[in-house]
Amino acid sequence: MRLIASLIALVALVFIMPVSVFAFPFGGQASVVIPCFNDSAIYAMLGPPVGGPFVWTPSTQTYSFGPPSHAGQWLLGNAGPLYLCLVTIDPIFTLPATAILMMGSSQ
Amino acid sequence: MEWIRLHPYSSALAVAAALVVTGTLFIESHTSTVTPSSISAWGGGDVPVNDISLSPEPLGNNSNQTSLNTTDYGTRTLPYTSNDLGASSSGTIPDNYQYNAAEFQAFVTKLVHQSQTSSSGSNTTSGTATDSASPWDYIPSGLISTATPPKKTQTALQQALFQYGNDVGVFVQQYDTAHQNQVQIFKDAMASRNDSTKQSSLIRLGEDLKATGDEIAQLGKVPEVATSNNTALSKSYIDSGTKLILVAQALPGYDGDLVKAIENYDGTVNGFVKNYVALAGVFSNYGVTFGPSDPGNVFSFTPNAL
Repeated sequence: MRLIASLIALVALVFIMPVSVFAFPFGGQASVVIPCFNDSAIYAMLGPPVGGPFVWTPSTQTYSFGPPSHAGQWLLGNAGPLYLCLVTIDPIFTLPATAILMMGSSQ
Repeated sequence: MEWIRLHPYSSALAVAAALVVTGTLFIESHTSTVTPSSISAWGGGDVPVNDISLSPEPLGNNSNQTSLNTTDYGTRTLPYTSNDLGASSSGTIPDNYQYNAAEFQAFVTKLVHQSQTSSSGSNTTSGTATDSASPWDYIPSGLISTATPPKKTQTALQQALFQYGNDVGVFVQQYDTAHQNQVQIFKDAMASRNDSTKQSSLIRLGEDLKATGDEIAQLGKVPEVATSNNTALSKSYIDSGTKLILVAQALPGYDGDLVKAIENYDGTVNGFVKNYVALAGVFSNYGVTFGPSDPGNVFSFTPNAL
């Protein structure tokens, strides 16, 4: 039983590992794009190959074709520090994400 | 059962083999890849490192972007809309979401202004790439390059900047590698605002940001052209850390105070991004490039990075 449990745990680990998010670099298709309440920032949840929650800020070095604007758009770039996207302030609702340093996007 | 007990290693191997075979059959039955008729090998095209030479998009000029929820990849139904707040808060990818490598290749191809489009990149209207002749076509040609860029002779200043970029890059990479879970740390702290353990984790994140800033500030050999940028970047790390600690301390209190703390923190992150991009610009202005394995690559934006 212990052997089978170990094998199941190993297989589960193999499937879970790719979910880890790396700060540098990132790239993937946006499934959700939400404007933040603060600083005109834009939150984007990206899918594979290197996805996760990211935030475009007004200071981000932005190449063609501009900031995230819609679901289905592809983004590619570098990201770094934690950013807290305030969606609503009453009630307080934040979406933590990684701030995008430089990026390019599809149309 | 008796045999399994007598031969634990053999039975473990048999179970592992069964899992591999089952997995292979499952994958094969769920993919539409056409098996190539002959053996082929893939090598990246002659895409040099740091190939992108695009000018930044003027902010606010989005005239060439399509409207909300439309793509130029045909009529495929999108899994989410931008208004789907409930789904976004969970931070998960929906079940019906399909990663399309061909679309990603088309995007990267467009981004690096490659004139030629590979066969897999042009057959994406249905959301699949069944017309591909080889599985190697799924690998975006701009992302992985086996070509070695030619060595150029560097000036003394370029060498100093290269060394400095790698020194700073080590600190940046160390922080990023050690805090890949920074988003989750904040999520946990926000979910249990009165939990002192989770609050401490967020404070530790802030302390590490400050420590990274101190390390960058104490760098010995900083070229004169990058001195002010180095100071600004280290200060940004320290400020961000300080403000993040204030956010952590505001968690158990009133919402208004927390909102104010978050806004202050985000303001410093904006400054951080600005200073980081400015330093990356110094390397670019002096023609300093970093290879994919150089720590200074954190200051480059290349399609080879993924």
